[in-house]
Amino acid sequence: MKELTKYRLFNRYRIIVTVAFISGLFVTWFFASGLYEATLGFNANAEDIQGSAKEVQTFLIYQLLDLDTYVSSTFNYISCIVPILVTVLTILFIKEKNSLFINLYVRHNKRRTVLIQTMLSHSVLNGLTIYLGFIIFLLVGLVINKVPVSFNRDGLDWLFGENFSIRHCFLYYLLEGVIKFFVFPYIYTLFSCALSLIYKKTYQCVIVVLIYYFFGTIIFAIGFNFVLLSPSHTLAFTSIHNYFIGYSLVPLSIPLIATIGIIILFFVRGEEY
Amino acid sequence: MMKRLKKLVLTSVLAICMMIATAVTAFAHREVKTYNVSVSGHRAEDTGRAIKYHNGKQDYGKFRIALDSSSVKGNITLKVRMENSDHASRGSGKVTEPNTATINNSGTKGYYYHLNLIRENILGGSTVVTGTWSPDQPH
Repeated sequence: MKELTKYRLFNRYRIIVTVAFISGLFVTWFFASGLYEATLGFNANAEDIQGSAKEVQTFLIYQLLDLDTYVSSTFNYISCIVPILVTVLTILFIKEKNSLFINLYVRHNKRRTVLIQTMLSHSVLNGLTIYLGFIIFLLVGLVINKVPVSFNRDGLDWLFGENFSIRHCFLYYLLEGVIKFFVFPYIYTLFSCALSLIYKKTYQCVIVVLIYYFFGTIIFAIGFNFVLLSPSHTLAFTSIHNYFIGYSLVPLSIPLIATIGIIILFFVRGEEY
Repeated sequence: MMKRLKKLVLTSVLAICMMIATAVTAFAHREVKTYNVSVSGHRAEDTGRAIKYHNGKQDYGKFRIALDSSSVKGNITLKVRMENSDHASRGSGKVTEPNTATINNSGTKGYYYHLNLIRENILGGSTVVTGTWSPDQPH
């Protein structure tokens, strides 16, 4: 493995982000699924419990231990935290741009190629980092959750037949996760990297992306009730029933167009980088 | 003598019939409530309480919710939780628009319960949802 790839992969920022993402998923699952109330917060002396309180508690815990509840309880966490983690990871690109680029330019003639390649490589790595974190969470869920899934998510039914998510819940979330945890981080990393070409300060590249994401959501989804252009839609589409999964990619077109526009403008102006 | 016997038999038959009718009515009874509430992804909304006529473990004891419509585009999913008067969960599940869900619970007959509704997506904003629910299943 190249030294540069090693540096990009096993950087402490990346490790911290991955660990934070995975631990956040578990904490959210414990509290948001209702597991806390069914275990530590359970009131065995409630008035309406007649007979064994242990039996009621076991029933409540059992009801929560299916893979769909496990994953869906983290939806809110995912749609709020993933954009933040992705843009934080872009700091690695900015650091590299400000230090290592000079050495790379000596070796390569085409500075533009170096810049684009580095941006694409960071986007792939960020996508893989978040997706890998989710896969680890999903694999643990496969071991913990033994109750058969009864609630269907029909996003992939058109491709794999009716009730696909009930029959193969793990596979459903694994496939759906490609959009949420690989494509989304990929596009948003590119967007943030492109912004670093026009903004001098690192925090600006993070803040501008987050302002677009959260304010865009407030304006499109909450204000105009037009979810198709809401930036958070790509991470939250699973909650919509009777839905073609391809629509979830539409909101990504805005940051993608903005990225291409910024890069072209940057090259046309011939600015120093 | 025969007349007396006839009266006695008739009275007994009537009494038995009344008892069966009362029992059947009690057995088949269930409270159905309508709801029209504004739900969001960050705060659960209460549907109003209803009395439970069957224990959760019985065949007719599953609670039932029909999500008829919402004020947003697309068919949304709601997380549903049946709670007792102390807001302790007695069973939970999900329902999609415009469908009905029948969900297992550990509620006890003779007690009041309510549903808590919350959207799955916190960034989806709030929406008005309408439908009906009952702590028991229809017969």
